[in-house]
Amino acid sequence: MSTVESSSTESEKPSGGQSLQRTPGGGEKAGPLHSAKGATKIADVVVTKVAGIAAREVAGVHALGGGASRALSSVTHRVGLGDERSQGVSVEVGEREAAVDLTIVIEYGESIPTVTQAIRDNVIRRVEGICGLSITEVNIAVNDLYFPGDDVPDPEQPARVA
Amino acid sequence: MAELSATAPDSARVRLARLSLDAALAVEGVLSGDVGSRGMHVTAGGTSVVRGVRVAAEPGGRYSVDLGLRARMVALPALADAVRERIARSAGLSGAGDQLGAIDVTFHDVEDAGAGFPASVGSGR
Repeated sequence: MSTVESSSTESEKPSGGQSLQRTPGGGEKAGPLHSAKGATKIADVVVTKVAGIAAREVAGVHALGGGASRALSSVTHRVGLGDERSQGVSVEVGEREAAVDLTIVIEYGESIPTVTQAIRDNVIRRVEGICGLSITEVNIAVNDLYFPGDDVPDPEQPARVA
Repeated sequence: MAELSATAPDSARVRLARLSLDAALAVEGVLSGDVGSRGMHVTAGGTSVVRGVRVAAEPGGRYSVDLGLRARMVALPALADAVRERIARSAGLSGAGDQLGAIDVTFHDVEDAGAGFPASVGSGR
C-alpha cells in the first residue's frame, strides 16, 4: 500500500524562512548562505538528518523507510553501522534550495492528510531554521500502516488436526 | 658550517590554515574539522597537513579559506557567521588580517546527541 502526497512551494513566494528571492530584473538576492565575506554550504547528509528527525517528531509517524530499507536498517543498526535517521529520506540540495522525499509508515487510525501536512510543515520549519535552505518540495510516500500488534510475534498455533 | 633545519617553517598559507581551524573550533557549536567525502578540505605544505580547511592563494596577495566542519544541530548560517567573525578577529590579532580573503564554510555533518532539536531552532516561523 502506498500513496504519494506532493507539495511544491513557489521559490519566489515569500516564506517564513530564507527563500531564494528573485528581483524583477531576474537577478538573485543573496540568502543567509551567501554574504560578501564568504559562502556557507550544507552537505546532503546534513539536510537528510534534519529532515529525518523533523519527520519523526510528528505524532502519528511510526517509522521512516520502506519495508526493505527498514529490514536492512535493523540489521545494520544491530552491528553498529546503520544510521536510522537517514532511512527513508532522500534529498536534493542546491546552493540555496533543497527538495525532500520521504517514505513513511503511519500509525493506523491517524488521518494521513493531517499527518503528512504536519510532517511537511515541520520539515520545512526545521530545514529552513537549521540549514538556511529554502524548501521547494516535500514529497511524502506513505508506504505502510502500523498496527500496534504488528511487531508482536504470533504465538505458536496449536495443531489443527490430531 | 650552518646546521640545516630538519623542518622548514610553515608557509603563510599553512599558518593561516592552522589559525583558521583553531579559531573555528573555538566557536561554540563547532565539533571538529572534516575533510569531506572527497577529502578536499585539507591544506598541505612542507611537512604540515591541516585537515578540515583548505587555504588557497587569490589574486592580490590574499588567501581564500574554505572550512569543512562537523557541528551541533544549531542554526548553521548563524554559526558560519560566528566562525567568520572569529577567524577575522584571530587573523587581525596575529597580524594576518590583510591576508584574509573570503571565508567559505561547508557543514559536512551535524550531530544531535540523540536529543532531537534544541527548542530555539526553527521555531521562529
